[in-house]
Amino acid sequence: MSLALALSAVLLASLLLQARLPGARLLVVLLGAALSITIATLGGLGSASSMLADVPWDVLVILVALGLMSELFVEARLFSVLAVRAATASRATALGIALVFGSAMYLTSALMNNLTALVLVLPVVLVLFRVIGVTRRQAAWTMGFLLVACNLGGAATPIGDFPAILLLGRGSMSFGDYLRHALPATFVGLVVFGALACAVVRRSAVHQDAISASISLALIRALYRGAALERRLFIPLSVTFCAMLLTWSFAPRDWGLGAEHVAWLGVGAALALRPKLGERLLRTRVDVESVLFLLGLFVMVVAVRRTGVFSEAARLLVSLPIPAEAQLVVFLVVSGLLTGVFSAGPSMAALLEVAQVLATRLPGQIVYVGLALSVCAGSSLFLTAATAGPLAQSLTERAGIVDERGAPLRFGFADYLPVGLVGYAVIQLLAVGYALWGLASS
Amino acid sequence: MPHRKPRPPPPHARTSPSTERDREPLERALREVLPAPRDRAFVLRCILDEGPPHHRGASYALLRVLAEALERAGGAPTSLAERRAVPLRMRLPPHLGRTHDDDGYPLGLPTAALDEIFGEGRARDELVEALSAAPRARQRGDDVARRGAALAHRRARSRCEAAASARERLVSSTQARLAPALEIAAGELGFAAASWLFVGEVGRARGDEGVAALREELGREFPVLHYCASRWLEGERPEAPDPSPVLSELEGLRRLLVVGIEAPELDALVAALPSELEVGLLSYRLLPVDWGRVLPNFGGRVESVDLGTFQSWAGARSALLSFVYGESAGRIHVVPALLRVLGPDVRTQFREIIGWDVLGGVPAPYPRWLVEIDRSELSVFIPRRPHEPTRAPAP
Repeated sequence: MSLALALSAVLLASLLLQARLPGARLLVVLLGAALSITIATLGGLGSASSMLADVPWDVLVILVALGLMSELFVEARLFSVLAVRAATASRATALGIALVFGSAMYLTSALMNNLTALVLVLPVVLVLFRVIGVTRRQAAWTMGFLLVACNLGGAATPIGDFPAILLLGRGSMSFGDYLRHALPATFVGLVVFGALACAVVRRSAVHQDAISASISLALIRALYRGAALERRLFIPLSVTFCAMLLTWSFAPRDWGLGAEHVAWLGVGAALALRPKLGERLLRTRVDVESVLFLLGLFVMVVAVRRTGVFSEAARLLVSLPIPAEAQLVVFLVVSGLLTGVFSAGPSMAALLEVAQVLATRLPGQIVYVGLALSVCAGSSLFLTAATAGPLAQSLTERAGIVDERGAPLRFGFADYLPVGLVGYAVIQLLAVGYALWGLASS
Repeated sequence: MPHRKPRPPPPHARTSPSTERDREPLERALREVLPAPRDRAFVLRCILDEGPPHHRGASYALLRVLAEALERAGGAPTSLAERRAVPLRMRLPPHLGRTHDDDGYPLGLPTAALDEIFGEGRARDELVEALSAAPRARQRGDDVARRGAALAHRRARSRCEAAASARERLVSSTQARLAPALEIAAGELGFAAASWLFVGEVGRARGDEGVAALREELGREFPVLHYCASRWLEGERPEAPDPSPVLSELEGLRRLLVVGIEAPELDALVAALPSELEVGLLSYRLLPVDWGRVLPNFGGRVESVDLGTFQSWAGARSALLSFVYGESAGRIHVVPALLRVLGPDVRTQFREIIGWDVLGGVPAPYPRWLVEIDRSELSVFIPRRPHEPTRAPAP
């Protein structure tokens, strides 16, 4: 029991400390993992090698492969072209920017790494803001909508973001099953939250004239004048990516092609299209930070799992004197709130252990998709809950834009909070509604 | 055709021995006004050791006569240092001057005599503004520069006001919203390209009246825009640049290091350059630049070069190219980055130092953001083709 307490304390302390000190989160999590291995080894729970063997390496492989695939699309200049086209489609109006870029972020995040997309798309939005003028509230709701759309897009497909990739990698759900359940649910979330966000943007936008809109579009065209799709890379890359999607969706199970296997093969083929570029991307653009962060988390979770704490938590949950539906609702709401505090990666890694127990009593896809949606809700709660939040904050503040009062435009924790609360409420209700509706119809 | 001229003596050489010998009377005359020796030394250096020789000579002569007159009259009044004085601000790049609180010279402009002669009122204010404005703007004597000086003086009235940028004070108007956008455009497209883009869009949407209003509101802050707007009102329209004079200067060379950016000129040049010629773009800038956005526009032909390593681009078959914003009486305006690389140690390490004029004339207001140097600092100066008016000038 003391071993379980010690390892749980290390996990909890690491999660809290990395949330409190985001600048040192990698160091905190890796030291926590080292401490967990030491305690587990001394306590006779297994050696370092046995715990490392329990790490879901397939998930890390998928994560790295999809990150590299996004980098290849960046090299083909897909995101720059999309950003310029989105700017034109928005007509540089406040409502148009929120609507078009929000939708674009949802679609992009469903298939690619949302951080990569955000880094390339956000500067275009910021240039538009700079020319047409922006109020602080309008900026907060527009940027907030983009972040929530990223989270919803990431939850829409099994390759969109880490929680869904974890479900796919662990074999909890098949590619097609997840897509069939999560895509419509997240789309509903996008429409509902998008309507609310656009209503606020419309009311809070500065008065805009035709000249600032035409200048902003001319400026975007000039700044991105060389942004043309590199077709010789883009076409074979798209074919490879489509082949990966089709294999994930339709390859029979008896072929033995795991999701990580398909990702590895696919990205290998894609990198080989341009060997020199491929080698450079492999050497310089692999997201080592994410891989090490998740590795540390997985090691700590493996150590805690071996003490039986997660099984005990699940047992407590299912022993609550309430119906199974209510137990699921409690689990989903707690998952959302924990994600808000600890962020998506750590929460999902730990909560999936509990979800697996619940899935033995309730339909698996409802538990897992409900969990993915709750994690998405929690990721949208605070600016710090997902990596995209601080990134958007620093890009906005570095852009040197001024608001309607002439003060430097900020997009901080407090600016985002109203957006986050509404986003959390909408998506959490969606998760609970989805779960109850799913249970009722099964 | 490019101009090649024999190099005259360096224009900013240290003080000539004749003025060096007679500093003492000026130093003595300044003691009452500037009691701190280091402040005095700084002011004397600015007056006697910096700038073109004829400026230094003229300043020396006037101050020497004044010092002599003061000495015969029994010295400067002891209360002079305590009298009301208008601070003299340094001409820092506008975006830096907004937040800087150490941008004044130790010597102020006492206004007691002007107050006595003119009393309170606009005439007195205008004279104070004229005296405290940039010396070169005063020499040109143009009205716009005078109004620019008025703006500078208003800023100097209080530190709070000085810290508030023109952008912030004008934020309610459309043009004011365009100022920050113009900064980003100037950083990544160049001052001339950005100005033509803004002037063109406003001209198409609002006609000459709109362009005149834009010039009035943003011209002082962005003198190149002032110039382009004036040219637009005189019937000029931006034309595709002709890189052929530069190309002929680059024949047989291996490396080209570009200082500053003007997107249309650089696009045209890079597209026409032989593939074996390497092109670097100095990344040192006054304004923030998103290099991830700028460099891909050149299709992989241009690489970023930082200030610490730019000399690795030097060589007997290397050239340095910078854009010039107008030439007048042998003086040219260039981006400050050129001064950072054009030290005496570097000048002989590049076969050619080429200046490519992108304006064809000097902006009327003092060209903030730019610096003035002698044309002889370049080995080749490529003037802009004269413009053929396409329509009658606007009234």
